[in-house]
Amino acid sequence: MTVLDTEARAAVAESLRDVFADDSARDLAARLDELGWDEVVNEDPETATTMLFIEQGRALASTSLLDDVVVGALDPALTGHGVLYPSFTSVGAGVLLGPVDDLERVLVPDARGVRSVPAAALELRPLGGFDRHSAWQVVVGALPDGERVAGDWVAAEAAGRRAVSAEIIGVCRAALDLAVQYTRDRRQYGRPLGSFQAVRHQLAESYAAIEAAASALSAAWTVSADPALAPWAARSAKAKAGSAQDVVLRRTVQVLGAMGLTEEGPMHRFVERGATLDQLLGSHGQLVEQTGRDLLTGTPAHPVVQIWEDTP
Amino acid sequence: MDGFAPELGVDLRAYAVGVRSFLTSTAALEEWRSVHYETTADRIRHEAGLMGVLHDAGWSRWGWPESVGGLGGGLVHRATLYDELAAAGLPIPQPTLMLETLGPALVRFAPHLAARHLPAYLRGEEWWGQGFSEPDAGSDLAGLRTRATRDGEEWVVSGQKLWTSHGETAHRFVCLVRTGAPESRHKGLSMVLVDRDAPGVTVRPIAIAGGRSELAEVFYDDVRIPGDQIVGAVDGGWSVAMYLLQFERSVYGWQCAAVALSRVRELVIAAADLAAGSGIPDGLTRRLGEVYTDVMTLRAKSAQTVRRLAAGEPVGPEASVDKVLLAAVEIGLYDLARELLGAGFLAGTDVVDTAWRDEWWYSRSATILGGSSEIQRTILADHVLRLPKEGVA
Repeated sequence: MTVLDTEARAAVAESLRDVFADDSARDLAARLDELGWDEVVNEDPETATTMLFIEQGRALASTSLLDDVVVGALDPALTGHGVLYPSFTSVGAGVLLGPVDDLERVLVPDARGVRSVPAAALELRPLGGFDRHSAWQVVVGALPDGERVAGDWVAAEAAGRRAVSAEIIGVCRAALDLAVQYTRDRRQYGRPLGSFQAVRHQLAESYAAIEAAASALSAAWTVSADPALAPWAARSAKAKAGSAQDVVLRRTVQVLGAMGLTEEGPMHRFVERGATLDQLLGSHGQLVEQTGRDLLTGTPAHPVVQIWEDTP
Repeated sequence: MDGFAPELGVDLRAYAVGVRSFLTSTAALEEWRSVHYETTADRIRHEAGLMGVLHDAGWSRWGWPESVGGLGGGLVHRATLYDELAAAGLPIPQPTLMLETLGPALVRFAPHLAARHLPAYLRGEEWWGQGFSEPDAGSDLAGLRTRATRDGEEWVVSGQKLWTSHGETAHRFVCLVRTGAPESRHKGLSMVLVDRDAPGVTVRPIAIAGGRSELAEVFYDDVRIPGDQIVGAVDGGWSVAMYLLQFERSVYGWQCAAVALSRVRELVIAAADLAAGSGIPDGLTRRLGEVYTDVMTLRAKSAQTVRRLAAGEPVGPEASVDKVLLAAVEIGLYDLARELLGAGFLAGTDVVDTAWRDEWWYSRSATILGGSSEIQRTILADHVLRLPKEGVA
């Protein structure tokens, strides 16, 4: 249930843009504290989390804010721990959102639950590769032993998926804004590119894909307190966000022509971040495949959204 | 709880629980479960009977004002009823599709006509068709040419309408006609209600591929209608049409999403049979997951739009997103069914196979009716993304 009204949300979005644009020495946590971010989160966790991650995506910022969401859902007493995400496992044991210099312990989910391992014992290398601008680290070598901690990884993963979905939506919106602006300005055959139907329709499809992802995310939030349904709906939301980045970025790259492919233009950054975020906590292909398997093995095709609930 | 309890008007949860209990425990509803019909006309007539049962029990009267035979409440009551019907394995009665598109506009713009005719529509005793498209005006609706000319207290309608859903059996038609100059585009249009029995009305059913007469061509040869059968103002038809389209893009999407979810469940059962036998072809597990996820997403989007409309907020061009998502669901779902059912879909002789084939063809209309996919994308490009107008230098 969203509480913040449209005006309040616009103000919050603007403040968040300033926070992510601030390149002063103060760290992100200090900047958010200054904004009184905890209060906004308490007042309206859905809107706050979604807006924070949308702006992070727009700004292409690489932070460890996701750790706070995941750890908060796992057990707030563990706040301050890092998280090893069980993704990119073909190149390492998992990824961390940044270096571990200021972390003491890292939480590692596995088949039996979650354990806490000493950060210093992890052998890391920058993830790099397709998205060279992220701070992400991949854990190479064997994982150290650690102690079991309480907490439900399934719920934590669902919270993480909702946040990453918002971040992908932010990446997509920024890429679409860029493509819309470019096709308004750029002229060929004496007309703006944006007056050609083939271009207009590709951008309209992109908009629809983003709005679809936003609706699926909002549905995932409406059932976020339901332990049985929250993971199911969060998976769908992440799948829709992941497929949106696929739909949107293919089109926004195309309408920019060769400009979309250059290192000097900004579009490649959105493509790289979108693809990398899609992989985090499950790519859209993996997630819908899992949903298909679950349906075939007896999980009901749940409606998730009830029209009579949450009616203003 | 009975379907007339006054608290149902304000307590949506109680309404949802009550209607679910009624639909799952009423023996008289069995005759509408798992039925397949020989013809569209049979289907419409039989499903209209279900409207009668729901009306007599009170449930379908919620969401409509008392002036038209309703019990009060709002749009969300209606949307809940449709969803619960599909969830209970019952059809969303065919006549309600047009009722949802035409009814609200009539209540708003012609309360006297709504009071006169909607009570019978709600009882399932009559149903209507919508006459918008013409042979020379499809997506470009403002170019339509069917005319209504004033003659004293009456109007005389002449022209031809095409692709009228349920036209074969409809009792009345709500038509958009030209009352202004031929070149007046959308400014010279009016909405009129025409009785099917009026002299000069001729209906020619059109079978869609597969053989079902889903649509019709309706000819109006100097059909006289009383002056009070104008819906809204003379030359004010475009705003009636725009008001009506809000419902077509939201409630219709919601109804389709509800049906699609029950079709997904049927496909899961069919797929489980395959899995136990020859196995599921490569890639279809993923597509099943994709289709379900898309249906859930359409529900989420459509619910937001329906709630906004229910709260009295205008639903603008961004509702074209709903239509784009709806089309993707319909095409994706029925293509998956066709591939999954394979030979059964193509050559099966069972009524269920026939039904899948008919519905596959009908699903193709999702990218055409109510403004084609191309129109929806253009609306988004023009009014939401504010791109330069098409073809403009």
